[in-house]
Amino acid sequence: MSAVASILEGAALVITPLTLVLIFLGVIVGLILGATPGIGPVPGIALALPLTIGLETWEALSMLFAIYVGGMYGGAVSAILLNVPGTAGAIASTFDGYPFSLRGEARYAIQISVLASSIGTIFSALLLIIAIPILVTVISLFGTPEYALVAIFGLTIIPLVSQYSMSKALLMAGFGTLISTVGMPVMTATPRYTRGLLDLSDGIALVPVLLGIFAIAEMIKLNAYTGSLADSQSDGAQELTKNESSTLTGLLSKMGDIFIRNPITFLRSVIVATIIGFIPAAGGAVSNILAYALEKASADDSGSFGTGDVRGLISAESANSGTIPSSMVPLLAFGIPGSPTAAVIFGGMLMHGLNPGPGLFADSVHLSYATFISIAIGGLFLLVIGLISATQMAQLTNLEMTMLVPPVIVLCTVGTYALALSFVEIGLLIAFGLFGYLMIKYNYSTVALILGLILGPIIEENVYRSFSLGDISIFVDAPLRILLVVLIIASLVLPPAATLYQWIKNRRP
Amino acid sequence: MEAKLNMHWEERVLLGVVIIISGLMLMGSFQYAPEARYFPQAAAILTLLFAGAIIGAKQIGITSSDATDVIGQVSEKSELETEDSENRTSGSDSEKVGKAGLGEFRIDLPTAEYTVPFSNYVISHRATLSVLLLLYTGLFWLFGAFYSSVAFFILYANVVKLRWSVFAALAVFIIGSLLGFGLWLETPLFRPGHEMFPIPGVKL
Repeated sequence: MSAVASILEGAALVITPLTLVLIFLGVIVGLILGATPGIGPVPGIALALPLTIGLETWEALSMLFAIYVGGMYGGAVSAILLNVPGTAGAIASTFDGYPFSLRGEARYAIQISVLASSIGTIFSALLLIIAIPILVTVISLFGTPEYALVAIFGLTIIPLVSQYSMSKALLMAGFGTLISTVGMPVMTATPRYTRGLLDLSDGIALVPVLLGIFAIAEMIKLNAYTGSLADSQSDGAQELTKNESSTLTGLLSKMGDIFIRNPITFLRSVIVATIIGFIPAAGGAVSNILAYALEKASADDSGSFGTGDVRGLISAESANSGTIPSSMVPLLAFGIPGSPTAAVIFGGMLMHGLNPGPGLFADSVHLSYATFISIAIGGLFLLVIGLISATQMAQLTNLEMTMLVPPVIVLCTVGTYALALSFVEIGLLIAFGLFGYLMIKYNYSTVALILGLILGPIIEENVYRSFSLGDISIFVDAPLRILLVVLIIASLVLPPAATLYQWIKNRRP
Repeated sequence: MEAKLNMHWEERVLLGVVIIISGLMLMGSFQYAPEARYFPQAAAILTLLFAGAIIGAKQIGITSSDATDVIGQVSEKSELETEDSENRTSGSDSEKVGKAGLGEFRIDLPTAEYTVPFSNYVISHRATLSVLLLLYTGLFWLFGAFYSSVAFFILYANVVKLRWSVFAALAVFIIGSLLGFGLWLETPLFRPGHEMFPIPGVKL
């Protein structure tokens, strides 16, 4: 099938009246969740999973992608107004976004961030639509041993691309992998560790774990804080937004700020983001910091960064949103999520009967096109909704934290029950919620646990199949396999080596 | 000299759970066929090794990032942010007392507490919510989704003393959502489904 036919087939899946309405609603929901400090797209999508049960596959997935798109941008609202990033992907947005607020230009900053986010998303999605034929060719080079090595790399890379300590991240990756062995293994017909419970015969269900760790745990975290974040913040930012004009005049001038005066900033950030998205577990949290750093390093007048420089805001916002489409590539191609949000979307794909991996990517390429087209449409809706709703989004920072807790917990619990009618899964949800809260509090990697749970069966199955093809040398008998082994070793060696280097450097007088 | 484990009890519980589960799964793995046991054994051994590394590091005082949330950690470790905060020290935000720092989300600053009824015992809201969640699980198992959810909401509202208007709005939302699940997704709301504690004369 030609690429054009595949694109059309993919477009037909997502361009239907109901799906477009769901994408529109998804962007709004994502915006609200992202703009609410402490929620963000990950718990938001986790929460939406059970609500999509009654929808068709691509209606549900398109809505989840749209929540991701809206949520990623929504994090910038509190970053700009309150200096508190609504999501980890908006950290760099505080650097130059908040100074705009202090100067009384919050509306300008929010509109720039909407433009950068939405066009960054669309641009990155279009890049990937063009690149899919090349990606399919590359993926076809991956056999069983390569697939096993990529999955292992997906776990070992976590400490390198995230903020967690290496031992804590690998501990949780190991633990996630271990609990993934519950259920029916691929090589025998005897279930493992199920203690006779039929509810566990398919393994530890992903959705209750996702909801527990990303939603229940977040609610326990938020529950300590009474009042709204805005209460204790500088009242200046809010006053400043109120004092500004509410019209959308000057939109073209703002687009000019991005595309005429700073096109290189935008392009560089989106390309960096697109590349970062390919790395498992990295996501917007890494890309926005990296793109910002790159922009600052390449600027002649880097001193203006951090004082409300539009280039800083463009780079951070276009980078975090630019990661959205590319973080779907490792998910679609290998079943390895490229970001925590992609991990939750993986749960949604499994729920709706899609099992991402090389087979799906190569044989059903129209599904990949459908994914990127859906994300691009989400970006387009974001542009409209984000510009119209800037003031309303700002009001969300006044939302009392305790108001969120009961509805989120009830939706998670009843939603989990609705999925499988299993009390075991309710127990898992609450257990992982409490466990996840302790993980967040003591900075143990939640994404490592989830990736371990997702990648464990992939690693076990493909290592087992690889050994049926030969001995251990099968993992180093081809250039691509050697490259992957080197990457795995490097990802394990680099973090401690960097720490050691820093320690030696600090000891020098 | 005895080395002291520099670790909060909650983190000990976290690591304890991981170690106990890993140990039990490692021991339990021997009952399975060789090809089905290698992978869990490898995962369990690696998990125990890393847990040991963390405990060892804590004992000799090499503490890694503790007790702040993810966003805060990113912020703390970002050189960029440090530089930018320094650039902004003359700004008005630096003068605000009690204001969250750049990227800080107050996970280590519990501000809300709850006094247990009929006692003077004060516990944090997080601990209260954790207890409520366990109670919710039990109630869910006993009475099904609807009654347990309503009971959880009422208990929570009582703990945090929700304003009446907020309570009413959330009650409508929660009951509406439950009915939505029941009517649209055909989720059984009133059936416990365990048949362990039949309540005479009561049909749920």
